[in-house]
Amino acid sequence: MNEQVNTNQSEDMERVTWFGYQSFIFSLTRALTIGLGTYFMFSVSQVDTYISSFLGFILSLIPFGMFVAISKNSYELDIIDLNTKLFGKILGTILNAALNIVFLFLCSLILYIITQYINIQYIPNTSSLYIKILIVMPVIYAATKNIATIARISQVIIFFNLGLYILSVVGLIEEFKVENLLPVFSENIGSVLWGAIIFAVSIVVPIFLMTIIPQSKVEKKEYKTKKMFLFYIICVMMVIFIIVTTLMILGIDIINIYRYPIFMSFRQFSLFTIIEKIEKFLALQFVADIAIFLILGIYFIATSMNKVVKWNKKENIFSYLIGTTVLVLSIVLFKDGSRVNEWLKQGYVYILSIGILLPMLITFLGLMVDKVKGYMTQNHSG
Amino acid sequence: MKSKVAILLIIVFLLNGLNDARQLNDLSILSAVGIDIDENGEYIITSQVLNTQKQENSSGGETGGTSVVVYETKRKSIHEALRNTIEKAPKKLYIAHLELLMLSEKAASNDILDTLDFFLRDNEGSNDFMIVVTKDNTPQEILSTLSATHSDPAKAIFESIKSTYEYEAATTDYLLYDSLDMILNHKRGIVLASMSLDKHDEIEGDKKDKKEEDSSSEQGGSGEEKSGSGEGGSSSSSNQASTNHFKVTDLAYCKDRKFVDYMDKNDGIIYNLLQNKIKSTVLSMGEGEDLLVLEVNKAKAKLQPRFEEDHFVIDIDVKAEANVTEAGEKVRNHMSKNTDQFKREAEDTIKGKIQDAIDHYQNVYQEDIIGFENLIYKKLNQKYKEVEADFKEKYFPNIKVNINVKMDFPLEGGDMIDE
Repeated sequence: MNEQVNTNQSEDMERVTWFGYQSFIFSLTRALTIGLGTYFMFSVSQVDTYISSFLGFILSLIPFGMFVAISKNSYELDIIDLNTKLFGKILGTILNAALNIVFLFLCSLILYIITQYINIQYIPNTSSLYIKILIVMPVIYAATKNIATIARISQVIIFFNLGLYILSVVGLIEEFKVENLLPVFSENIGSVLWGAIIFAVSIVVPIFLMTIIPQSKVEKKEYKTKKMFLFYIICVMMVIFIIVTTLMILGIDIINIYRYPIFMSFRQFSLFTIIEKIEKFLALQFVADIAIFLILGIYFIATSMNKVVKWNKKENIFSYLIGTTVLVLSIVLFKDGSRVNEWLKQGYVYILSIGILLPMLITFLGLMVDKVKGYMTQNHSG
Repeated sequence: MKSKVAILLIIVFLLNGLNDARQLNDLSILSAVGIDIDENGEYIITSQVLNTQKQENSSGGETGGTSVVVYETKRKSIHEALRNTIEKAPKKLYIAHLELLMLSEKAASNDILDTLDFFLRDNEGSNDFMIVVTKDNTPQEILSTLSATHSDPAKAIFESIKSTYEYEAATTDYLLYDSLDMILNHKRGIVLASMSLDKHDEIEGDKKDKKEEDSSSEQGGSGEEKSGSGEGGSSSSSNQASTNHFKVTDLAYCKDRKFVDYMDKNDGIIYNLLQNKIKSTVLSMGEGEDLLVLEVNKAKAKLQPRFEEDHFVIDIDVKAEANVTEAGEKVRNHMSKNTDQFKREAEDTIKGKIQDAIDHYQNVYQEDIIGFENLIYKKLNQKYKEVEADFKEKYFPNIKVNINVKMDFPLEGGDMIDE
C-alpha cells in the first residue's frame, strides 16, 4: 500500500503544470526564428519581411493545428510510441528515426549558431570549443532531469525573457522610424511568399519537440485547444514585433550588412539616456531560448533512445551520449561559417519541411484515420 | 549528489569570469581616431588615448588629470596601424569608447564605407561616434595641436559639434548608425560634419613647435607620441599658450560615398530643416532699422512627392515657430500692429532659402542631398520602378518643388513690449 502511494507521489512530482507546458511554446517559437530564420528572411524579403512574417504566421497555423491535434489525441503516448502504435514497428521506427536525425542535426546547428554568436558578440578571444562545452554542460545536466523540472526551467526563463523583452521595447521605442517600413510590397510576390515559408517553418518546427511530452504527464482536466492557440498567437506576435522593430530601428540597408541585426538594434537601446550599452544583457533572452531548445531537443532524442534500448537502470546515459554527439556534430559538420550559411540558405526550409513537418503530417493523418476507424467501429457496434 | 557537486565545482572553475577579464589599467581607452592617407596610399592613423596614469605636479602632489596622449602610426590597413600603436603605447587600444572618427579630406575622398569597415566589424566597437571631415587640416595636426590645450580634444570637438547642431543647425550630430544609414542608401546623399583649426588663434610658438616635432618624427611606417594635459596640468609642449581653438565648419557632402566639397551654410541649415532635424536656429531679415532676428525653435517639414506629366513635384509644407530676439527701430514700432506682415516676410524668407538650397543641391552640388529619390522610392514606388534607371540623370535635376511655409510667433517679442 505504502509503495503504491510513493509511486503515485513520484508520478505527481513528474507532472507538468499546464502553464509549464505552454511556456515551452514561448522559447521554442523564438529559438530558430531570431538567429537563423530572420537572417534568411531579411535576405529574401528585404523591406517586406514584416509582411512575410504576417503571412508566415497565418501559414504556420496549419502545422500548429496539426501539432495540437497530435498532442490532444495522443493521450498517454508520446510521439515515439504513437508512431509505433499507428504504423507498426517498421514504418513507425523509420518515422521516429527521421525525427530524431533531423532534431539531432538541428540541435548541433543551433549549438553552432549560438556559439558563433557568443564568440563574436561576447567573448571573441575565447575558443569556440570552450564555449560549446560551457553551453552543453548545463544543457545536458538539465536534459537528464524529468520533464517537470525542464518545464520549471522554462517557466523561470519565460519571466526572465519577458522582463528583458519589455525593457528592450521601452528603451528602443524612441528609435522607431515608421518610414523604414516603406515601400510596401517592393519585392516580388515570390520573395515575400518564400520569406513567409521560412518564417512559418522556423516558428513552428521547434514546437514539435513538445510531442515528446505525453498528455498524461500534463496536469489538466482537459486539453485546452483555444488557450493553446491563444498562447501561440501571442508568442508569434511578439516575434513579429521584434522583426518589425528591427526594421524600424535599423532600416533594411543596415540590416543587410549584419549577421545578427536584432542584436545590432539593441545597440540603440537608451533608457532616459541613463541606461545604455546593455545590448549584451538584453540579448541574453535569445541565448536562454536556445538553451530551452537544446534541453528539449536532447531530452527528445534521449527519450527515443531509451525506448529503443530500454536500458532502464541507466537512462540518463543517453542524455550524456546525445549531448556529446551534438557537441561533436557541431564541430564536425559546421566548420566554415560562410559556407554553412550559403548551404543553409538553399536547404534550410527543405530540411525542416521534409525532416519534421512531413513525418508529423504522416502521424497526423494516421491519427485521424485511426480516429475515424475507431469512431466507425464504435458506431457499428453501437 | 556527488556528481552534482562535481558538476558545480567544474562550473565554478570554468565560469568564474576571470579567464577573459581585462582590467581598466590594462587598456588604452581610445577617444578619437584620425585617418589620413599619405602619398603612397598608406593610412596615417592618429589615435587619441586617454592617459589614465596619474601625473605629478610641481609641488610633488598627484594631479590625477585626465590628459590625453596622441600616437601616430602608418600602415596599409587601419587595423594594422591601430594595432601598431602597441609598439609605443604599452596597452592594447580599446575602441568601445570612441567618440570621434576624423577623416582628412584625402581619406574621405576614398570610399567611406571601406574606411568604416573595420569599425563596423569590430565587436567591441562603439556606435556612438561621429564621423567628421577635417577641413584644411589633417587629423594629426588637429589632435596633436589641441591635445596641448584641451584635456580631451575629442570630447571638446564632439560637444562643440553637438552644440552647433542644436543651436545653429549648421551641422549635424549624426552618430554611426545615422551616417551608416546614409552611406548604405544609394538613394540619398551623404553629409558629414566638418571642423578645422581656427588659424587666427594659432600662435607662432605652436607652429615652431610643430616644425620641431615633424623633424623628429620617425621615417616610414611609424610616428610620434605627444602628450598633453588639461588646463592647469603639465604639458610636453609647455611653450604653447592655451589659445589653440578649433571651429565647426560647413557640412561636407559626398558623391558615390566619396567626399566632394563643403556646402554653403544656409544649405546645411535647410538640409536639417527638410530632414526634420532642426532644434533651434537663428533667422535674420533686413538690416538697420528694418532688422528682424528670429530664433526658430520649432520647425517641421512634410515632404510629399507626386508625378506630373514628365517630372516629379515635391510638395514641401513647413510649419515653424519663432521668437523675435532682435528688431530694428522700424520693426519695433510696428511689431504689434503688423505682426502678420512680419510673419509673411519670415515665411517668404524661409521659402526663398529653401528654394535656393534646392537649386544648389540640383545644379551646383548635383547631388540628391535631401534624398528626394529615396522619398519617391518609398512613397511612389510603382512610378519609381518605371523611371529608376534614368532617375539620377533625367528626373532628379528636373524635380520641381512647391513650398508652403507657415510661420508663427507664439511669444511675439518676448518680455519687451513693442510700441
